[in-house]
Formats: sequence, structure tokens, C-alpha cells
Amino acid sequence: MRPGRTRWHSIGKWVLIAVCAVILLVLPRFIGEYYTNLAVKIFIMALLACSFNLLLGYTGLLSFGQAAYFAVGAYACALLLKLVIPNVVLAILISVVISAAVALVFGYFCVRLTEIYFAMLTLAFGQIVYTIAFKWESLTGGDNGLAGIPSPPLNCGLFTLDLSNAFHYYYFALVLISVSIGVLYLIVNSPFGATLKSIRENPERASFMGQNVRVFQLISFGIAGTFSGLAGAIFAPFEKFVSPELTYWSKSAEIVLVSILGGIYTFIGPVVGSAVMILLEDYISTYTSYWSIFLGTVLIIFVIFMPDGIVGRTNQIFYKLRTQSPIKQ
Amino acid sequence: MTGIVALFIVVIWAFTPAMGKEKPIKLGTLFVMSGKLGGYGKSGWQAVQLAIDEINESGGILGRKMVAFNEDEKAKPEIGVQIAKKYILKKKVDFLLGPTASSVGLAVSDVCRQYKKILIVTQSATDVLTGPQFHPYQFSVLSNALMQSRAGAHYLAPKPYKRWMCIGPDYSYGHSSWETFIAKLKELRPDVEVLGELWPKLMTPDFTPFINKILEANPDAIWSPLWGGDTVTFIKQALPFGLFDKVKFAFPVGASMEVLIPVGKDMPEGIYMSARYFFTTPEYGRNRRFVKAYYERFKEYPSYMAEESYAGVYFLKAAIERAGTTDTEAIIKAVEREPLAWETPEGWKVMRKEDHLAVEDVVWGETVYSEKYGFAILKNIESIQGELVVRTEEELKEIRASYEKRMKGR
Amino acid sequence: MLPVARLSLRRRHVGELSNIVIQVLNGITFAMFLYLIAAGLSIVFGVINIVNFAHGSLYMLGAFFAYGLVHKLNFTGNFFVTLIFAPLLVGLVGLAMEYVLLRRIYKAPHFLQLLMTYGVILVIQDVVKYVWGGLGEEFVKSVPPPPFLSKSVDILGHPFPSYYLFTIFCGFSLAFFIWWFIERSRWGSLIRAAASQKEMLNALGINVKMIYTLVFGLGALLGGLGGALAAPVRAAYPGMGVEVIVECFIVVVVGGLGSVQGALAAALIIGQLEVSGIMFLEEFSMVFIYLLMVVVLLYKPRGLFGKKVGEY
Repeated sequence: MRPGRTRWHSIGKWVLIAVCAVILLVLPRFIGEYYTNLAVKIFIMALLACSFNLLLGYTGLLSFGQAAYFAVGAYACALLLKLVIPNVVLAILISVVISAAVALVFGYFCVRLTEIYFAMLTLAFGQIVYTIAFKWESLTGGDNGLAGIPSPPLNCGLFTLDLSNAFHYYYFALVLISVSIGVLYLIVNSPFGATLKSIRENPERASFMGQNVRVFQLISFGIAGTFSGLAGAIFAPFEKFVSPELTYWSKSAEIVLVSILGGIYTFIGPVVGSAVMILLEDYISTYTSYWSIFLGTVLIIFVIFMPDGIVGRTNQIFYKLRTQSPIKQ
Repeated sequence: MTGIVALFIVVIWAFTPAMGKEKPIKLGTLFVMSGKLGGYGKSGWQAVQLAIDEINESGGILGRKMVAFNEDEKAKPEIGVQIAKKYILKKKVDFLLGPTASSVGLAVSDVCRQYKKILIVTQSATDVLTGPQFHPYQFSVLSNALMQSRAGAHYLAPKPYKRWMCIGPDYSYGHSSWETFIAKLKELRPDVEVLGELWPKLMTPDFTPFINKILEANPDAIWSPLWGGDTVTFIKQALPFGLFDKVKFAFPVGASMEVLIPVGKDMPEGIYMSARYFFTTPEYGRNRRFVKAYYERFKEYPSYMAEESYAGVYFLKAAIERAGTTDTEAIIKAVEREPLAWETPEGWKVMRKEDHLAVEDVVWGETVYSEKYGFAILKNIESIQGELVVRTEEELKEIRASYEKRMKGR
Repeated sequence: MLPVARLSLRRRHVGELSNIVIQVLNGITFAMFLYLIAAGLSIVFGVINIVNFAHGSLYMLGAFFAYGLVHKLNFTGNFFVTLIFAPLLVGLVGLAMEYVLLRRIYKAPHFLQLLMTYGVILVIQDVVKYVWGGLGEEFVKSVPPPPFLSKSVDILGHPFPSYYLFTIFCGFSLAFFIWWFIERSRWGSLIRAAASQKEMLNALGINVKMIYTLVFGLGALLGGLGGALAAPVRAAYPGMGVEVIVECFIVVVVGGLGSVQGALAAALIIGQLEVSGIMFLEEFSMVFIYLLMVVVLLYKPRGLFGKKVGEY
């Protein structure tokens, strides 16, 4: 590839990111409170999906119980804020540590398996967490969940964020989540990420080359669980309500769907998938109670015509356009 | 000259909007519309539509028409909250009504409190809403689990059953229904004996192991908070065991169309069932008109979920009319000024100010198959007075006090 | 005094024994319901290697077709006719599904198959809601069993519903039929060949694509049969497929993917565990099936009868 091309390509990427950042920063002014709310939901889902995709897209492991770590983070944060300390940052930090620990414990068992057996075991652990959330009423509120989670104001030195205000929470979530996604990006583009990809492609060969496959998978699982827990911890003071539904396998399925929709072999795919799915559901359900058939048809058409996901497909289109462009050598 | 005519026309035109083409009152409803429990949502939404059409045809509320939206909460609090926010922030509804699932009820009720919008609770039966989680931005039109259980205790205490068991769905509604019932029963009749409790998970497909446990323990009677589709499958599975000949059953929410119609003529006779409302009673005009209108439009008899939602819309009408405005705070003040009584198909209900709960009578009866309807209806109907079963003065004081404390702590 | 004591002791022993027998029978019945649904999924996975998330929806269609046939077309006279036609209809749906949709994604990774079949679940869900959810239709639909199967028989002093005995009979017959069909019949050998050596089979001029289609249709038919059999006991309602699909997958995975006898063994173990669990440790009945899967998978990472692929 010509050197000029590469430089232009990476400059273009940064310009795109800068433009997106500006748009995201001014968005709330234009879209009103409801859509600002929806945007926060998209951010949270995007982080959740990206963390999940570390496992599927980069390590080749289909986790069907990722919602469990999300929920652990959410419940931990909720309980900390309600009962222990009214400080959002501390609550989030501690919740993240707790979810990471849970993920490492479950992951230790799960990485002994492969393919669909791995997926089923993650599902089983997810359901076990569901059962605990459901039955341990004195701690989790049982199936009624925990309501009235406080969002205490956050003192950032120069200014104070009133986190019960949707617009303030938007910026809070935006900063936290973009940084996290940035960190995930660095992880997948690091040597560690490269090893994960080689494990995804061919675990046997990777192990022959001296990599301790299981350890890498476990670390990947732990990282994914940590960021899923972070997503949950950001969710709790925003939604102000947590319930066992957050750990149910249907929530895990949602995460899987959203990532595949966006394209699991690209980094930004799950983010795009989250936005598309949430907006689509919001739009369709307003107009008809038969949204299932609509969504189902969309998914089916998707798999047939766009198996690489939205971003995968657009990448293909761009690639085609680029290679067809009549630039004389 | 033409200038004056033009001015005249413009003035008339400018003022016409103020004269009756007012903005409609918007009501956002949410129910469970899909899955095994979807029957409740279907009834609820149908009833809301009927009520609104009736109200609009007779002039609306304060001269304004009412318009309603409906979405499926799918028994998931996250979705319920999303819908509630959509209604409040995007659709700018004036009031909300519903939901079905208790957990969704709690979540949505909190959203309404945050945004200071009134929620009319017509299907969630958890008594937590009028108890530990009370706040003034919601009104419960239906008798909650607490009232149902206490009424059951009053109804069953005089009967000759001493050895009791319970089989109910394993979640907070089931548990609190039983706990309240047995506490009250023991109070009224200290010689009762509890043999055991069984808690199949909600929407269990197979009750057989539980049925066997009941047969083994051989109680005199059973209290069963199973509802909707669960009651249908339970009864169908229990019938071949002859369970209902050996043990007397009491279903506090069993007499709903969603149960009676699918079970049909298989329904054993003499099962004690209660319903918040049963369409054959009372025999008076308002009820008969409601049942007729509902049947003609929707080809089925109204269940209690339909009637409660219908009553909810009419409560809203009464509240708005008393306040003279749709302003939230004004309505709350108006309703709390003195108990608001309004007419519903099941009779006159009274909304009291202490816990925003409608004090209504609870109806118990025994099942008997009716050729006329093709499903079982209730005979020997007894009405337990509302005042007897609602929370007492001290309990209410506690509720208000805890609300004040919670609000201070924010 | 002594003879009386001895008599009452004996009666109590017989009581204990009969309790255990009933419990075992309950466990087997529960297992049969599981197996009847899971068998189709297992075959499809074993032969075509496709993850059909929508199998539960086919089960639901079986129940609804049974309801429709009985109520709307007045097949009330003959339950067994319904039991033949409802699954056949579902089998047709399966054939159509395979031909139009699933064919295209055989080579796709499992997660894409999951996504597509999830789409199918959503579509079937709304179709059922539309067709059977009109005005005046109740949500939970009752399907009556034939009169001679709706009473109970006396087993060691306890009543046991004869419909359950019928289910047990159906379950074991099906297991036998599947075994015979796959292991002993000519069709079965074709199917086994298509599962493991499809290139060779193609080279021999046999239309493997059609075999796949028929196998999927068979899997769908079995799922529908499970639904039609379950309907008189569990009623037909929207969403029953989604409830059952996870259990189905657990049975297939615990048994070992691709092994139909594994599915039977897993179903029997799970059935017995659920029933005993409910009898003794009722608090946690929600979680038994998942704990079982955890335990089995940790000791036998390929399921009970699963085939071992390379370790690393």
C-alpha cells in the first residue's frame, strides 16, 4: 500500500472520531429529554456489547450469560448507593471489582469447555445468578427488585453534576463509557489482543505455539465481566430500579443479538448494533403491537444478506468502492 | 368594509380553538399483552377503550376528549420504565394507567413519582405500593393482595377446615398473599394447623410433583394464590387425581374469565373462588349496561381485570372533575380533601386519602357450572366488606410516616 | 397387640414403597415430556449440525394446531387423528422453513444460525398471536384429552393419571422407533451417512440436500408431536415455546450433542431430579436443572454420550 494512502486513512479515522465526539457532546440540546434518556441506554448497551464481543469476536467464545455480570454490577451499585455510601464514583468502583471477581470465578469453570458447551455453561451460571437475585429477598428485594435507587450529586471539583438530571447523567455516562470503550479498543489492538485472535482462529495451533490458551481465555472472560459490571453500575443510578430480569437469559440473548447485528468481527460493530436495535424497537413498538414479526423479519433478512453485520457490510461496500476507484497508479 | 369583515373573521378564527377544540387528555396505558399472562392485558386495554369511547360520546371530561395509548410491558420492569418515560417525555401524556406485573408496577410507579405524573393502578396487586413504597402520585383502584387475603380469612374462618396448606406461585405476590391470609386466619381461629407450603415457580408447566405432595399430606383445605394460566393448568392436572374431592380449595383470584373459560365444564363444583369483580353481580343497571356493552363489542364477558381498568378510567374522570383541572397537584389535593366516591359496574367505590386505595368489597363464592354460559360461575356469593379488610388506622399512620422519612432522606 | 403392630408396620412399608414408585413414575413422565420435545432438536443437531433455536416454537405450533383441529374443525371425536395431523402440519412448516431459510446458513457459524432462528421465533410468535388471538379468544387455550384417558388408574393405592401412562408409552415408543429408524432402516443408514460423510454420499449421486430437508422436517414433526401431546396437560398459550427451549437445549447438551440416546438418558436424569428436588428441596427447584448441567459438563465436557474432539 502506498505510504500516502495509509496516512490519509488514519487521519480520516481521527477526523471521523472527532466529528462523532462533537455530535455526541451537543446532541442533548437538540433531541430533548426522552431521546437523551434513550441515548444513555444506547451507551450502556454499547459498552455491554463491546465487552461481550471481546469474548465472541476476539476470543471466539460465545458467552450466553453475560447479563449476569451486568446485573451483579447493577445490584452491587444499587445496594451500595442505597445502604452504604452515597458516592457514585466509589459505588461504581466497588461494583466493578465485585463483578470482575464473579466473572473470574465463573470463568474459571467455563473456559474448560468449548463451543456450545461453553455457551450453555455460561447460560447456566447466568440462571444461577438469576435464582439468587430472585430468592435472596432480604438482600435483593426478590422479584420486586430494588426501587428508588438514589443518584446523589457528583462533585467534580469545578462543578457539580446533578445525576438525577437526565442531561447531566448523559455527560457522565458519555465520558465514562467512551473512556471504557477506548480502553477496550487498546486491549484488542495490543499483543494480548493479537493472541486472543489467534486463539479464536485455531485454539489447537495456539496451544502448540506455547500459549496457555485457558489462561488467556480466562483473562479475556475477566475483562469482559469487568466492563459488563461497569455497564451495570452505570445503569443502576440511571434507571433507579434493578430487578432479577436483568440477569435472565433473554437479556443475555439481547446482548448477543445486538453484537451480531452490528458485526462481531469489527470493533465498532456492537456499538452500531446497540444503537440500531434500541432505536428500532423504540420506533416500532410505538406504532404497532406486532413488532415481533417486524423485528423477526428484519433479523432473518439480515442473516441472509448481511451476515457480517451492519458494520461488516458497510466495510465491504467501502472496500469495493475504494478498489474500484479509478486512481491511476 | 372588507377590512372589518376580514378582522371579524380573523378574530372569530383565532378564538375558535379556545371553544371546544381543546387538546385531548392523554392517557398512557401499559399492560402485559403477550405470553401466558397476556389475557390480563387484553382485557385491560379493551376496557380502557370502552370507557374512553363512552366518556367521549357523552361530552368528555371538562369538555375535553380523552385519548389513550397502549404498549406491552412484557412483565419486564426495564421495558415498563422505558414505556413510562416515553409516555411522559415524548408523548406528553397527562396520566398513566396500568400495569399488570407487580414488579413493573413498582418500577413505573417510581418513575411517575420522579416526574410527578399520576399513575392509576388497575392490575398490579402488590400491597407494597400502598404500603412501604407508598407515594401520593398513584391511586390503586383494585383491592390488593392484602385485602384479598384478609377477606379470604373472614370468609373461611367460619367453615370447618382446620388443617391448611398453601400452593402458590413462587414470588412476592404469592408469598405475601399466603402470609397475610394465614396470619388473619390464625387471629380469627386460633386452632388452625399449617401442614406445609408449596411454591412452584411462576408459570410452571407441570404441577404433578406438587399435587402428589398435597395428596400425601392430606390437608382439609388449601389456599392457592395461583392465577391466570397457572390456575388453568393446575386444575387440569389435578382433576385426574380426584384432588378436588379430597381437599377443599380456595383461590383468591381464581374467578377470572381467563381461568373459568378455558377450564369450562371441567371445573369441579364447590371450589371457593374470589374475584375482585364477577360479572353476574351486582344485578343493577350500571353493571348490566357495562357487561352488555363489553360483550357486544369484544365477544366475551368482562373479567375483573377489565372492570378494574374500566373503573380506573372513570375514577380519573371523577378526580379531574372534582379538581376542575388536569393539574397533578390539584388533583391529588382534591382527592385527598375528602374520600372520593365514584360509580363503577361493581357498585360505588371510595378512594381514601391515607393510602390512595379504593375501599371495595371482596366477593367470594363457590363454583358451579352454568349451561347458559358454557363455563362455571359463582353461586352462594358473599361479599366481605371493604372496611373490614383494609389497613387499619395505625398501619396507615405508619405508611405516611415512612413516606415522609424516605422523601427527607433524598 | 403384637400382630396388630406388625400389620400396621407392614402397611407403612408398603406405603413408603408405593410413594417411591409414584415418584419414579412422575419423574419418568416429566422426562418423557422433555424427551418428546428434545428428540427432534437432537436429531437435527446430530445430522445437520444446525442450532435450531426455533424448535420451541415448532413445539408451540404443534399444541396450537392440536387446539385448532379439535375446536375449529371439530375433530373432537378422534384425539388420535389430531395426534397424527398436528405434527404433520408442523412437519410441513419445518420443511418450508428449511427450504426457504435454513439451507442458506448451513455453512455459517453457529451464532448466525442462532440469530436467524431467533428471528423465526419472533415471526411465529406474532403469527400465532394474530391467528389465535382475535376478539373473544382466550389467551390460554384448553385442549381436552380423550375421555378414556382423562381419569386415573390405581397404582399401589395411589391415583396416577392414565394420560401420563399414555405419555410414558409414547415416549418410549418414540425412542424405540427413532433407534430402529436410524440404526436399522435403510433410510436411517442414508441419514447416518449424510451426517458424517456427505461428500461421499453426494459423489454417489444421492441428493444430500433433500435428505437434510427431510431430516429437518422430521425434527419439526417430532417437536410438533411433543406439543400436541403436551397440550391436553399443559394447555396451549403463546410463549410456551420460549419457556421450553432452554430446557430442551439443556437436555440435548447434557446428553451429548448428536446423541439421541443421550437425550433420552439426560431427560430421564433431569426428570427424576426435578421431581425429587421438588419433593425434598423445594426452595431451589428453580435451579436444579442448571446445577445439574454445571456438574455434568464439568465432569463430562462433551455431555454424557457426546463425541470427544481434540483437547488442548
